Amino acid sequence: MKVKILLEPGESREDVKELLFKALESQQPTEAHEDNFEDPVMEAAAEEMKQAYVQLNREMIQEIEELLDRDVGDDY
Amino acid sequence: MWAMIIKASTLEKIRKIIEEKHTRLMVGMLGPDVLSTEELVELRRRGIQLADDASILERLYYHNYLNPHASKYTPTTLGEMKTQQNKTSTLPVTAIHEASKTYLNQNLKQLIEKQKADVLSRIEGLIQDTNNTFKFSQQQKLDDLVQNNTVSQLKIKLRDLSHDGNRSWDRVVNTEVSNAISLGSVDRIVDENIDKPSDEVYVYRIVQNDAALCKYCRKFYMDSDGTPKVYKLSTLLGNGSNYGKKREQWLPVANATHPNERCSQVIELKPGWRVLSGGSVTFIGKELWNQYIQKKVIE
Repeated sequence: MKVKILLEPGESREDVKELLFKALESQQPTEAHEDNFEDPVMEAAAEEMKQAYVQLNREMIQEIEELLDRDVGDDY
Repeated sequence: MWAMIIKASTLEKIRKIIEEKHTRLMVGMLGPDVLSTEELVELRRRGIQLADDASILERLYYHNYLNPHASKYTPTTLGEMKTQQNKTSTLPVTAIHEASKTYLNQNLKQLIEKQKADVLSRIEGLIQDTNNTFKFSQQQKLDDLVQNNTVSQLKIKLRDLSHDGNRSWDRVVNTEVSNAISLGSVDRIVDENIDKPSDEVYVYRIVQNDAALCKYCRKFYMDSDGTPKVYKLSTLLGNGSNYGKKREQWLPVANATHPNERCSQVIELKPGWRVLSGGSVTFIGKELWNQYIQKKVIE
């Protein structure tokens, strides 16, 4: 594999070197994994659990917004 | 005293909304069995529908208990998982299994409570900020447009907060699903080796060896030659849990190694077998195995 680097006016090889190392570093996360289970059942279960919260959150925020519209709106 | 833009009575209603949503989540995830009699009475009083299915984590625990290897009989959907478990005449329910299921359920219950407390605390903080902005605008005698904007801004912040809540929950789910994978597989190994001490049972985990593999799982579960590291089951069990520990104190363990872990089940390496890169095994015979395991096992 070859990587071609085009330098813009004013950019140096040293700048490129630093940015390249940073970019490579960011491709090797060292802390936590991405979420992904190899077993399709576990994947499906995790997704279902996550979506349950997304829906809860959506409904919760919507209800709070409606409440604010009603209660705070009445003050004006 | 300055008039507050969001009154205490409104805040109380917001608290009730947050409480009810998270209670519904808990019932949906864990089933009614996990709640106390008082909690169930209160839910019924509030008209919250109680699902009669088991806790999802219990289902996942048994899925990993019953299915050590992928085969044509292994469920591939949640529906198949339930069918398999409903068909299995007796799912094991010894003290070991009850302890694992209780651990999973109580852990998730506490995490939902924590999630709820975090959401509540952050929303209360936003409301306090909004009220403070309102007081300031009163002092400065700014017009109604600014005052109305504080509520509009609050709504925007609420939506941002909702994204944070989703991310935080994703992490909870990944970790707890990982715990169910580990506990189900470990309990099966314990049951299959009931006549053996756990320091005579050898196990390994398979990492997902890709760019996202973290340095901890690489160090704990992958040997320098790319094959899985092999531990005595007693070592993993003896290391307890990494929950609440600092990263530098983490150890290879039988349950989730860290949040968002995605390593495999705990897998037994039977006597006579050698584990290869990727986690497959090959038979080498018991004589060679004795030498192999002495070199391979991590004390």
